[in-house]
Amino acid sequence: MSGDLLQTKLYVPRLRPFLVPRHHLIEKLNQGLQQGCKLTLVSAPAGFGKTTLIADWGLRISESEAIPKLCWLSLDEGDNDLNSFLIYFIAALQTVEPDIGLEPLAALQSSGATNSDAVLMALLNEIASLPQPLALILDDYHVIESHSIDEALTFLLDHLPATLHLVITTRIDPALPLARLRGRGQLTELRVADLRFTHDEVATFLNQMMNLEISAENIAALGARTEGWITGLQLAALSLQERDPERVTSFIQSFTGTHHHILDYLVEEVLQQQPPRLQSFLLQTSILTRLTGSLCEAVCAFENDSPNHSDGHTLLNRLAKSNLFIVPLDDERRWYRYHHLFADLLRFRLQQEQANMIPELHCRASKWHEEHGFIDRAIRHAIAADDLEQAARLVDEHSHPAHERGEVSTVRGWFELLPDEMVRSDPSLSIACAWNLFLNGQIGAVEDRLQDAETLLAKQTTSVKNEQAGELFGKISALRVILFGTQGKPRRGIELAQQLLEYIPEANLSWRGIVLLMLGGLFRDVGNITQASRSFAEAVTILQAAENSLAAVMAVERLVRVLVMQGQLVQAVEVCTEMIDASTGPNVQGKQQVLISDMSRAIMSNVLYERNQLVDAEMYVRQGIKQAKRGGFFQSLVFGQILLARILQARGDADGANMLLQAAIKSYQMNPTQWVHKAVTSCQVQLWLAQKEFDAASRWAQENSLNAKVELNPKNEFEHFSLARVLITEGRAEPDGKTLAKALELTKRLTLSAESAGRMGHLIELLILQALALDAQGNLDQALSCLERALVLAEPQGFVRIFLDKGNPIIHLLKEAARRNIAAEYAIKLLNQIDTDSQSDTPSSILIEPLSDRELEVLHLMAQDLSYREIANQIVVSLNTVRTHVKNIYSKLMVHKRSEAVAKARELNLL
Amino acid sequence: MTKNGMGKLTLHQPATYQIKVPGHLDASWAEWAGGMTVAVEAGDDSPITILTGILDQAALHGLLRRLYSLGLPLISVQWIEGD
Repeated sequence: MSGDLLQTKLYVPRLRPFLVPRHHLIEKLNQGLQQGCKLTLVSAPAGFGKTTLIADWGLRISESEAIPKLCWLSLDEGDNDLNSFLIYFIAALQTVEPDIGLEPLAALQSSGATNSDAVLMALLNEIASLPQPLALILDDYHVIESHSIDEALTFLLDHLPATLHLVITTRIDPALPLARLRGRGQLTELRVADLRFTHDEVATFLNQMMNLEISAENIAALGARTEGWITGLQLAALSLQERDPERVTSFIQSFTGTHHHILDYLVEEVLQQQPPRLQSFLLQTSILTRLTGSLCEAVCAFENDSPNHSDGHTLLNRLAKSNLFIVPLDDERRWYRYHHLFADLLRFRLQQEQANMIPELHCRASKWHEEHGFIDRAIRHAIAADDLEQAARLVDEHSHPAHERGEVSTVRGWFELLPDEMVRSDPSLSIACAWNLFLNGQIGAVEDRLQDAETLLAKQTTSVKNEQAGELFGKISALRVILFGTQGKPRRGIELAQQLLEYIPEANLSWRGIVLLMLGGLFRDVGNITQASRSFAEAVTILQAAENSLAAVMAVERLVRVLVMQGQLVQAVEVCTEMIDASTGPNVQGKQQVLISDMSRAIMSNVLYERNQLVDAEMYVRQGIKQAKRGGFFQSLVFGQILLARILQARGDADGANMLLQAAIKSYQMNPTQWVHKAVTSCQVQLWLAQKEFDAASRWAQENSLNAKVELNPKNEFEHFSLARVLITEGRAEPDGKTLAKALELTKRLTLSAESAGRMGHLIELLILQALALDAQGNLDQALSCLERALVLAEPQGFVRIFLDKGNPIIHLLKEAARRNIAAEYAIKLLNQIDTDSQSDTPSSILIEPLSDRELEVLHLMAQDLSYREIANQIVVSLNTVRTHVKNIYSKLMVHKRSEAVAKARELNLL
Repeated sequence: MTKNGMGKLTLHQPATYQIKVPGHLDASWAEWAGGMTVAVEAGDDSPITILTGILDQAALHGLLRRLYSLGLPLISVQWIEGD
């Protein structure tokens, strides 16, 4: 969860102890829920008690323990960005369903363009499967002016499952398809006519809630004058409370007699009754959207040593007690806000009475927020104070850390607040802006900003700040390196990165490490795997020395992938082990320790898979997926899901594998990138081939216009391997052998390229494919000589799955090799792994759903031929419970009788 | 909303507007109302406040929103041509 996500926005407002009961409105709201309406719309001007009514309703629901569970989101102007709106939307749901929306949240918090429809679809699916319905309240929706949010909400309403009910309170009707919902009876509406106090409610309010004793005549007069407007009545009541009872009638007469605007008249009345110190406190703190004691003190510049000092916290509590339009935002009563309308009016008074103070007040607020780490607010107050220098400094200092936390859209908001000419005249800001555009997926706009920065720096060269300029030039180059990579110009990127490395001081470890990390990726893209491996390895060492564990783990991830390509499984395990050891060292903080070691193990699970250590691989990758979801490491999540799909397929659990692949595809769609797409596709083709879905695999090749004449490009290697396998499979069914010849031709080309680049892992794969093609052609001798080479290369590193994943055709060849004593030792070792596959694994790996401890106990008793009644007595449960256990055991073991269950259990070593 | 014939009213160019709301708002509201002048005239049975000033469309809509948030219904919004 991002750092400055304000929990106060998710807090269901606490109600004043005495409220006018509004049974008829509560009843209408309940009816809407019971009739299955999708949306409740409460649309009325300020001061008609919208929020109070809904909070009261919510409280009644939760007290009665009726459905639905309630969650709350108070919107403000800062929520006009779809990304951050959705992050809060999910955070609100998580207040009652902590595990909902973890993947969509990870997708939203990762950099790059998020596909909001896919995010919403994934979220809706999770909502639909909730055991208990939710109601989500979007309070103050009128602050939303973004069309994309209206559209997202429309999409949500169009697909809304019965497990979610939306409630919107707003001053203005939202741009949602209200007429359509109305027409279908899916909308409950409360409008001004419903919300204004009736005559009876006015009487209850004044005489019971506010403890006034007002005559029926005066009540009628006040009701008529305010037209049931609750804020107006509240102000009138506050004013009356302080008044001599004898003068009540005269006040009401003058109030109802005047044609002055109600607020104009009453706010003055109420404020005048407060002590001057409190008046000034109210006016000066009105510039704040959220109030807390020390913040108020800072803004009002309280002097702590003044004799009649009362602190901000005490004053806020006093205001809350006297009902002065203040709303608590948490249970501890640390944060408050003013009632919106009251705050408007206070700001208006402030403008009238102390206009020259306003910039200073905002300056103080900005300073307090900065000191307390609320950077977004600090920037907004600096802008309101017209202190652009301060705002620019804050953006400059905080955009980088905010980017690292994944708060790309927040930073984009800051750049929208600053005047563009100001950004363009500051090299450091221009670079920060370029980074923001890049992370936001607006690649085309990046170069323009970089050129601004360069031009500015070139003008500055004579200045004394040479060191700083050097660092900025370095940042520009680093971003260009990445740009070259994404624009398909890796060679230019490599050139620039190498220049950069000569330029960066040796001592600047973190910086060097990051550039080496980028350089390695570019080498990998051009197929220079030796250099890639070297760069990544150096990056790992340097980043560990720099104590930048997160970046180090990223480097380990890339290094391990390259080492697997190079066939260096032994070294890959060493690298992972070192990283796991380093994670427990003194330089890694508590929470990060778990993160780093879990991620390192997840990376190692790729190697364990290759070695057919499926139980450990599965355990580690599952932990990795969990961390990736919690920590928002989006790519690690998709790669983890892909590996898990392969593990399950290797176990023979095709359904499980397909499910995981679908999960990976869904995750990928939420935040699509080309690199992840390749990995997902490659896994899909592997699963098709393993599951004998040859038509689907052939269609994939056709649809992507892939054929044996394809031009080789290291970036598309996985695609080519998949294609070769598809061609071999197709060729087997064709009598004329043309396709097989093409397949063989393709694998030979690929073999040459892999061999010359030193990708020995790939070479093993390609030798196996050649062997398969040759064997299919009936050329057994040559096939076996290819297989022999593959076996010799594979043995010292322990490659197993690379053979076994090819299924029956390779088993046949391995048997033949063993018979003819060709690399027989390793061939037999591989064959043994197949035979023992289904028996050596733990039972849980074969059962889709493992048996519970109780079920195992029952199973043991069943094997002893006890009757159900005897079993029930033995484990002290009812007969029915035993029957349920037995039913579950049968379904998990996929059997129908006791004898079958016992036999299957023996087979699985469960007994 | 009403208009006095079609001149060169555009989205971006400020123009003179007159806005009428019921009741009495005194002159202290002028600044809050975007620097518009505030005048009160007698209506049929209660006074009417007339806000007059030069606004572009963004300012006009902002002002209408503020009037609404204060609970003031609109009597009219009129473009005064030729200023």
